[in-house]
Amino acid sequence: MGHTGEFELLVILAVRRLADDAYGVTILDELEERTSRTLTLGTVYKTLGRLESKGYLETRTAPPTRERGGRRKKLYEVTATGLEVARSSLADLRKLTEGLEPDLEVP
Amino acid sequence: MTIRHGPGRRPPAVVRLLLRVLVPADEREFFLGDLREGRRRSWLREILGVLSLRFVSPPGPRGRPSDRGDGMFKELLADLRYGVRMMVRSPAFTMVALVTMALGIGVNTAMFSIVHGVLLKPLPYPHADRIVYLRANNLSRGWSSFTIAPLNFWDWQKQNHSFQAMAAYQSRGMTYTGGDEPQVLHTYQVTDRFLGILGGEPTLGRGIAAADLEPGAADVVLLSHGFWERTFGGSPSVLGRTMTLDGRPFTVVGVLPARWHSFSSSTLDLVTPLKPRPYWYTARGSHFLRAVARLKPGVSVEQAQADLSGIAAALAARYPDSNKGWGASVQSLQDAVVGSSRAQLLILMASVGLVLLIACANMANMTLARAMVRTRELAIRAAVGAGRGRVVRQLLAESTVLSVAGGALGVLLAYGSVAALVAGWPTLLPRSRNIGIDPAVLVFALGLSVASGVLFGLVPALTVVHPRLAGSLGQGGRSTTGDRSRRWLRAALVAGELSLAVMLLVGTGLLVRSFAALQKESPGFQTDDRLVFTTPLPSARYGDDEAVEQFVDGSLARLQALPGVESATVANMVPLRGSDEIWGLWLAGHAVPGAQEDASALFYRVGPGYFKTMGIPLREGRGITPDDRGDTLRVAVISASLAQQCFPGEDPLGRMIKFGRGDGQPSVEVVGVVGDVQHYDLGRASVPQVYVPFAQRPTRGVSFVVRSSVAPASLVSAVRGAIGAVDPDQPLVGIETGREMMEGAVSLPRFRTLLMSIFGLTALLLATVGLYGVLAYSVSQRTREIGVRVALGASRGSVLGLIVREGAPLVGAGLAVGLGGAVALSRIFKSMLFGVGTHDLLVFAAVPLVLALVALVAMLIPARRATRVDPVRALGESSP
Repeated sequence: MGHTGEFELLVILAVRRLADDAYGVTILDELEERTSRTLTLGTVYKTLGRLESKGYLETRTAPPTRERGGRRKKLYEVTATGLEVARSSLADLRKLTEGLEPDLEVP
Repeated sequence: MTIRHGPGRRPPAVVRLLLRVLVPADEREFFLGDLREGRRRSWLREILGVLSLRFVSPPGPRGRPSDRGDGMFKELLADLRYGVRMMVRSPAFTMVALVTMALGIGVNTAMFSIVHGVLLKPLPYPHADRIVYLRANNLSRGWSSFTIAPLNFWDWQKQNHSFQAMAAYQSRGMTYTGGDEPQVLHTYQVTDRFLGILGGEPTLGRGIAAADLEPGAADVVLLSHGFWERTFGGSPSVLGRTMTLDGRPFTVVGVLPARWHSFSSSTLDLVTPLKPRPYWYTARGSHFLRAVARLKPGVSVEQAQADLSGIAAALAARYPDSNKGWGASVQSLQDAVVGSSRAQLLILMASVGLVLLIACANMANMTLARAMVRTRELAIRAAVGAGRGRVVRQLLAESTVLSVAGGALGVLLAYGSVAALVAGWPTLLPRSRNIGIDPAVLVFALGLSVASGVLFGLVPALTVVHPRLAGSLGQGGRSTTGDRSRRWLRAALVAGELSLAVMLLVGTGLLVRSFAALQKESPGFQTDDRLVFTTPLPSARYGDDEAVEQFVDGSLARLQALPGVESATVANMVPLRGSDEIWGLWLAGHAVPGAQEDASALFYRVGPGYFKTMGIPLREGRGITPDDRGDTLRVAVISASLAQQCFPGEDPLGRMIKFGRGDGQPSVEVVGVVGDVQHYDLGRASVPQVYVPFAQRPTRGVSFVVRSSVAPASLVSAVRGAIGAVDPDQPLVGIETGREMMEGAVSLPRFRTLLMSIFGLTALLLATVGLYGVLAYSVSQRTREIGVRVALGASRGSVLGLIVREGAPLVGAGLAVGLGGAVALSRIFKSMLFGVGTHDLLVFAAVPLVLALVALVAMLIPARRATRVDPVRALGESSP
């Protein structure tokens, strides 16, 4: 079973949250809105590419739209492997935070 | 540079260009789409984000360098990445370096894009290198380039062995009265081979055929693609339609190709056949045609020139009356189009080259200073087995990364400034529609960046990699012993920069002085409160002199009645407006009239009150009055220089002159002398002038001059109304105030002076920063020594003197070398100068003075810091 870095995990989760509307700019917005990070599109693309090549994400293209200047978009979806990796990473995290709740102020 | 954009807004072209280079092809479409769709973001941040991913972050699985290339390439990538990291690590150094290189490469890229578009790109015609421009000349009379007489053109055409095809043409404005309001269109009258020579075969309809040139042939017209789209909405049904031009019907027979342009800088609207007139067959001395030709394959311009010169010589022998002294010249069309702008562009290009050299010297200096600080790091690298070549490569990679990054910024700078340059350049710049940042210019910028990086990186790299390098390891990186040669090198670099700056500033100074002189130059007439415009009368409606006079009299009466108008007058031409008419004149009773005229002069046909309205001073006799009618005594007023030339030391009043040879020509009496005017350009020796009453020599090329008591621009619509009331089909062209005429006359000198000033000041700034850098570094290195001196009782003044004494020889050497170079080089400015010598004392005195003052400031800042050295702290720092 593979595992994954923190930012990669965040991206997988964001893709999953967005369901069938996950592509570059929506993923970026989701990440910026829900985390305290300021990101560039380049960073997001780089990570999406890496996750795709690891087999955690799969893609399909959607037809061009006007607000995109007639360009297509690339929609992402989390694969079964990706979901499994995210699950195990989160489980690891949970195990490690056990007993630290007062320090970390997590519920 | 934070450019914000709203959602759905298209990224600027520069951003798209950069992303096209930086983002892999398989991701680009999605990336650009996302950028466009996304919320307001900063382009700069996005670009930097992509940049940092490409060069700084550890390579991901898809771009691992070890996957491709050999060891050398891997090493290069590692060096480049290290170079980027070094940039990020010392932001102050990087900022100064980037700005320096961006300035140096930016001005060069901008200038090169102009030189490339104007001088280097071939003309957009098939086999453009074989198209030539033909002119007549008469060197014995100082006319190196002249229009061609039709009979001579036909003889050249019949007798030459060099050309596949020859074509004659004329260009003029024709009044089109089919649209919403009458307008003057730019047209070419051409012979049948013209479009073939220039590759302008029509995309719709047909071209000009030989039959169209026959005297009785129906009038036909070809439309330029642009005019066709503007006026007829690009409709193919335009073929066969009739257009009214100059009051005559013309049938549209063709449309020219979309991307085809004439070689003149103005937009061409129409092409019509050039039909010979009866008088063309009689006068070999009437020159008015222009011509182009296509060389046969394998024939050079020189061979064609020899061929045509032979023909011209034979014609001169055969028709001495008209052709004596007349020759022919063959010039490649490209040279003819570029003309005199070549020298100016090359001088400006050389100037920006000097700016880049200064920038490189600065960079070399900064890199040297940093290399001294980094001696220890480099020694460690050598100690752990990096060979000499390896270290040099690494330093070169660093300097190249810096200069390419600076160059990229420079390209952005050029991108912004080229548009401004082209817009600001007067229309005299030929081929300006070819100018832009295209791939060739980008390659130039990249090549220049890499070359600069190597240039300023190599010198420091070689001095750093010294056999004694290993010795530095034990000295805490504070060695100063090995610094001597480097310090000398840095001093030489700064002195070199200063000398280059002196040369540029001398050039700048000469142009500024020349421009100031030009602005003080009087054109010979008053320009305040004057309004000038032209209205060409079509021959179809104004066939005889009477109709012309009626129009002129009616117009003058209405103009003079307008409130705010003090006086109004008519003329066939007005100074500084480009058009001219030159006649030869013979002095009556001056020996036997020979074949050659006694003088030639600008031939003005002017209405009553012309001199008063224009503000041209009357020196002797009288001006043109309403009493000078067609049936009264023929009179002329001449300019002072013509009087001097024709009647030296005599009274010109009452003398008789003739315009034309032979007894049939009426004699004209000189009744007045007026001051000279500058007809073509300010600051050039003008052709003398002769004025005759408009009523005695009416013409259809009509200009009006209005002298106003109110702001002249406020009269424009009233003036339009006045002319429209006389003839609603008459367009007004070239309406401008006297001030605007003057502005136009100095716009080219103004612009090149502005450019040189920018270059000169950039050079001064860079050189001063260089001097400051060397001295500031020296002070920081000598802190301890200065501390000791202060501890031993050295006064502030003596410490100050210490530093200034270190800088002064550099400044002195730079000034001396620079002035020497300027004396040698300033000759090249000669053709651009007016009223100032190439070795102008004021400039040659002021430049070193200004530079010395600025240098003094650059020296005093670090020197003052030296006086503040606290001896206790300085000495305490000495233990490593």
